Amino acid sequence: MRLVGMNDLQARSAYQPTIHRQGDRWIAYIGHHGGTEAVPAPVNPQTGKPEPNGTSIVDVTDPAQPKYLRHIPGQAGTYEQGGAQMVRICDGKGLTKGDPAAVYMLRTFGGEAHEIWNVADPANPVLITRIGGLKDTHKSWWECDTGIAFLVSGAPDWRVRRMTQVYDLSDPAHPVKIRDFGLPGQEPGSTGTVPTELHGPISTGPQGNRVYFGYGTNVGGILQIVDRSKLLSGAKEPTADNLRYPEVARLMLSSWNGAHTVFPMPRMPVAEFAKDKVGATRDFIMVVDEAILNECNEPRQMVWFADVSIESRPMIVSSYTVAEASGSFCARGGRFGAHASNESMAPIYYKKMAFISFFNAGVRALDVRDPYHPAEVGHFIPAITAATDKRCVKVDGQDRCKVAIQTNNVETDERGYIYIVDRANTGLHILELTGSARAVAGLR
Amino acid sequence: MAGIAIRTLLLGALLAGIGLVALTAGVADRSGPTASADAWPWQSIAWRFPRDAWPAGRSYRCPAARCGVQLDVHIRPKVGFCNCTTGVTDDEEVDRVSDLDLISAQFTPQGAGVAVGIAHLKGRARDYRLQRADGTVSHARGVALSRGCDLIVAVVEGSIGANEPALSDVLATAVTGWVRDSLDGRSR
Repeated sequence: MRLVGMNDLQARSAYQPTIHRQGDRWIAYIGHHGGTEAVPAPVNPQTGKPEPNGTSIVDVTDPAQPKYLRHIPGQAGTYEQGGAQMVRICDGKGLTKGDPAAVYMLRTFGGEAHEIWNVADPANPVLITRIGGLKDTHKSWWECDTGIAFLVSGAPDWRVRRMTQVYDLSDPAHPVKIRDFGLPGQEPGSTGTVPTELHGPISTGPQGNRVYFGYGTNVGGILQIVDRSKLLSGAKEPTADNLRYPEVARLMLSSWNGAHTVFPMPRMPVAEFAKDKVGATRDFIMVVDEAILNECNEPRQMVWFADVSIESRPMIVSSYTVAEASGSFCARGGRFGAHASNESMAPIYYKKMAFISFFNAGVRALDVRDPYHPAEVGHFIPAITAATDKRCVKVDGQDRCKVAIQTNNVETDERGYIYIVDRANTGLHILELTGSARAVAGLR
Repeated sequence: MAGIAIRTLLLGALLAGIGLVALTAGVADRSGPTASADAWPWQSIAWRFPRDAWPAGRSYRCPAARCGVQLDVHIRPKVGFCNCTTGVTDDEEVDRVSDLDLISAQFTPQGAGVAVGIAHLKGRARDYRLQRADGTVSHARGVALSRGCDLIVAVVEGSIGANEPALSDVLATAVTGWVRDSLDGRSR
């Protein structure tokens, strides 16, 4: 993989990039974690004022010369407690009740709210609405045709910090709550074991009629397969029976692994099975764990491919990890392990290539045309800069710190550029494939 | 009533925390061959639970002959499993993290929990009624303490009754041992 361009994102810790085409422009929206204890609110050079980390908006039309357009401050607070980590974009013209001239940005506001902004003029965003009163938020999903949103929220009376609030956001100015959802045992008033809390969902919309929910980060992972229609139309009262009703199946991962991203890849012809009378085309879910501890102080968090062709019996059929010895990654400092995959389903890479952020091992390009045998075909690890923050572990009661890249999330655009962002404040790097990896994706 | 009992734990724990330097000799010293059987009713017992997401912990027993009823305490760290900024702030967090489900998945809180502190760790404790697979009912207390992003959790099996001081003693000692060995990275 080759570096095309970069932007330092004002040295803000970055979580999730989303790239959106607006007319003849390409705009990157990047959600940020809260600031550090040393710099809780970095100075925005455009305003000259300290601003709590929020959302960076960058014009990447020319990927070699990204232009920083605007920073929208987020919730005050450091690390996971502040910022505005998550961002999704939908065109108003695609939403049934949206303003056709608008481009809507759904973002979190720290742990306390979801917000929708009109970013039709990305340099001058306008706040449209806010859904607040929450105890946490995280990586939501928004269907840009129906407007149905699966918001990762912390309803105050639920037993977990993160569950799902389903909303109809087809009119972004007037959100309509549909229901709360989670695993039985998480709902208000329940007792006994509390199932692992949600990390994030991905919906295949009315056509696919499935919502895949990933629970857990680095422990107790669960892939839950849910009938979208039943979820939306079923009884809304959060009883155990009502929560169970739309569930099709669930896959319990090892207690040593979580489920950060559950990315569907349905109806894939598998070359090896091409002559088989049954099962030549299969449905897969790529499950990506999240490493959360520095310097390998946890079981390896990696990538798993689940064959869900028989939905009632999902089965892990393969896995992928970066080889630790290939870079002595456990000794480099910071986290080593998987975190997230790209979530774009644009044809250029979908079901052919997947990109995995791997913290201090950078980003990894996987050939996923045969999910039974995923293969790495490229990688890129950005260089540290003066802005790159340290990561520490305790040794004999003292902090022992190292400066290391922490590639947090990755996304792609329809042109084929790959965008990676750094949790340790190094910024945004825009990449392209080179060599044989381009052939895998069918690029010249 | 449960809340009152837990407040006793808080007081006892804080008092034990005052003597923490003396206690940092560690659990092994207090339960080893040089320990005074009169002063220290707890004995180390095997961690009996199957492997799960977290490293095995340490278990201690105060036999009925010493405590009037048998009390078992199971304690271990859960590194990186806490909200780094807020710590343990509500009872649902105690329900979620404090290892009650090692003993039984069916547990019901007996009232609200209370804030507790042991040494420089803070968190919450809550009493529960447990229903075991064989239908028997027993009592337990869950304790969750945090330092930064890390937790130390404990579950106490049995009716604590008048044994709050003894419980505070073993918790303070064990928590200190785990802080030293796990959170401070001295067993790397």
